[in-house]
Amino acid sequence: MSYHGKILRINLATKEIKTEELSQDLAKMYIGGRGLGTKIFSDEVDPKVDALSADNKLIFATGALTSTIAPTGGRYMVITKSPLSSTIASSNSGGFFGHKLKNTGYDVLIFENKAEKACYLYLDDEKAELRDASHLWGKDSHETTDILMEEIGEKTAKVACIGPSGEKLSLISGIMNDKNRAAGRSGVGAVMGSKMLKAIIVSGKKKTLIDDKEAFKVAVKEKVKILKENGVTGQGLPALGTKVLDNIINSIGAYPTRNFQKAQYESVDEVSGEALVEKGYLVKNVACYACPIACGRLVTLPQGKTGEGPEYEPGWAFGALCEVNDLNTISQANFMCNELGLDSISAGVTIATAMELYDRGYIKKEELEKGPELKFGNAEAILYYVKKMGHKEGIGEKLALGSYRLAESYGHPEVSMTVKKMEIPAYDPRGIQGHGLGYATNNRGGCHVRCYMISPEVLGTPEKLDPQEIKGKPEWVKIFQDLTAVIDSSGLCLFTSFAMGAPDYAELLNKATGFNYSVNELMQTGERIWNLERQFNLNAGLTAADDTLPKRLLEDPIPDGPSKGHVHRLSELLPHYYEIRGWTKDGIPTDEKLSELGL
Amino acid sequence: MKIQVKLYSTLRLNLGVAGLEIEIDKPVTILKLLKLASQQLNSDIIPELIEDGKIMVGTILLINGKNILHAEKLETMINEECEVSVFPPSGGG
Ligand code: SF4
Repeated sequence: MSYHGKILRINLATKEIKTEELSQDLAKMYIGGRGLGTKIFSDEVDPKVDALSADNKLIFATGALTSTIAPTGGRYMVITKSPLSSTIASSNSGGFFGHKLKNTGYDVLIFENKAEKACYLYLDDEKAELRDASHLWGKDSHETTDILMEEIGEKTAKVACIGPSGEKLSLISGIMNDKNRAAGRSGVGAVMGSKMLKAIIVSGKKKTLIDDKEAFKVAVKEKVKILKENGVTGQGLPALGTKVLDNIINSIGAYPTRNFQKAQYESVDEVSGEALVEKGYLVKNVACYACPIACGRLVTLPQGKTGEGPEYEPGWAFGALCEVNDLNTISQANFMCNELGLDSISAGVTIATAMELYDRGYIKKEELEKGPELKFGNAEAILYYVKKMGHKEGIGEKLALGSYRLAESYGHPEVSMTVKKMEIPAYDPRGIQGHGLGYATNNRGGCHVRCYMISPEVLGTPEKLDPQEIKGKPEWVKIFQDLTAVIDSSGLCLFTSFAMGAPDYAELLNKATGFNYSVNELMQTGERIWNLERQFNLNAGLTAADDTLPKRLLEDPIPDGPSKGHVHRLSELLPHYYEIRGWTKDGIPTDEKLSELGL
Repeated sequence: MKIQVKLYSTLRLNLGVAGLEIEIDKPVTILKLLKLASQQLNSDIIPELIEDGKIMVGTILLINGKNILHAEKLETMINEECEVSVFPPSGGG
């Protein structure tokens, strides 16, 4: 229960659309969302597939708790092979699209093949149709959403789409839903673009059935109370959103500045979450479906432009990492990314990379074709080059490929702050050791939301760990990775984990699905998902050598601030991590481990 | 000695103050320093940070960027000029 038990398979080339049954056994083994989507994907697609070819598939998967009353139960996952990192890609997004997608009566959508002409999918609880989208091609995500909403004329319908950057196959493009929410990372927008699928619009009224409705209601009420009473989810996040972190991470000396050449930013007070409020930009909080936390920010800039964000990571990427201290421009860059359908984290990090390449004389002035200089601190440059990147014009061709390929094209990949070719977000691993191990071993590359060790190492939840200590960190990283796989597969928001633990998720899942997971079984399910992703990556050709960090973070000590003198101690952490994962010293899951997990 | 106290998040927004300087003539614990800060601010900030004598989950108190939870907690001594950062329970990203 809490699944409709239906999968919709859409062949974009033949236009054949068919309904298949979702096996309950599979659902129990992989929960839904990220886990279930990855299982279906890896059963059907050769890991060596060219990510932008017709043979790659694109899966949209809702979680077991998506579209229920569970707090934050509105999320969905996009699963495919990443053209950026060549790993499994699974990008999570909130808003209301996931909830509405499940209202159509389908748990999972599988897109196969490639359309000949631009198209979009209309889906409700009675019909599924591929329609012509030639009038939408070239439009940004906001225009596309507005046109489709008008065309369909159903107020409660929800749209997910790509912007121009996805159409142009930018490797750092995402899929936007509800205009400003993004399944942002791993280049999933380029896969959608390669299939000529511009948008999906969903509508419908099919309710998600709950196994034990009364008990579920009681459990939900209790979890909402836990979230409300917790300092982080009840006060901190609602008050300042994720941008409360600018000052926290800067104060401990792990706030990457000037493309990770420094770890503290002297102008942080100009660009922090507090500044967003003090400058009067913040209008109100916004919440995703069924979310009592409401961490989203509706912002109006002095010139009158309104939009959402910036969240902590994009704000940091366009701010400290580029040494730009103008919050107005940073917010505009973030709006622009949403409209163009760019991953705002990767876009900001890529521009910081370009700034360092320019600073070191590798990118020559002539190449900028009279555009603003790519100097650190140049606010004008970030807006100008985000646009170039989104439309792949001039040097934007190279920028659209992301930081790694950009730096490599100049013969200097060491300037790129990426893991598995994906841009590292806003926490310097040299100042937070466990979090750095999380980056290095992440199944999709440089990403912070698969193992948010900032919780224990900085914020002190569920308990405070010393960020420079390495003892015990591999164990923590494993637990966080496995638990996050459970949360992502359930269709809940990771932010619930500041207040909730594995027993809370087990309770919600059990009452909704009737599966009766013990806490151990649930954590093992998370571990199964993690290992399945790992297997996919190994079969795609990645090796233990890819479980690493940029040389700068391993060899150059932080030059200033409270974390001064530290490097990341990966070589001391990684062997033990492999060991507790039950993997060989080459990072390969042993047969014993795989059979223990039923893989 | 002069101690720079920096206030963040809801404390900064609600009090409308980003920080203050506290002059002490002998070493004090951080708890005492927070009491002095409350007096100087004319507003008790302790209930925002500490509950039943314990640092609340999510509260972050740093001395020169180092969390006092890894020192002597609320008994950590301040015996030289330094910067103290005060975050009430905060969120993540
Ligand atoms: S905490 Fe924020 S991101 Fe998560 S569901 Fe709520 S509003 Fe959305």
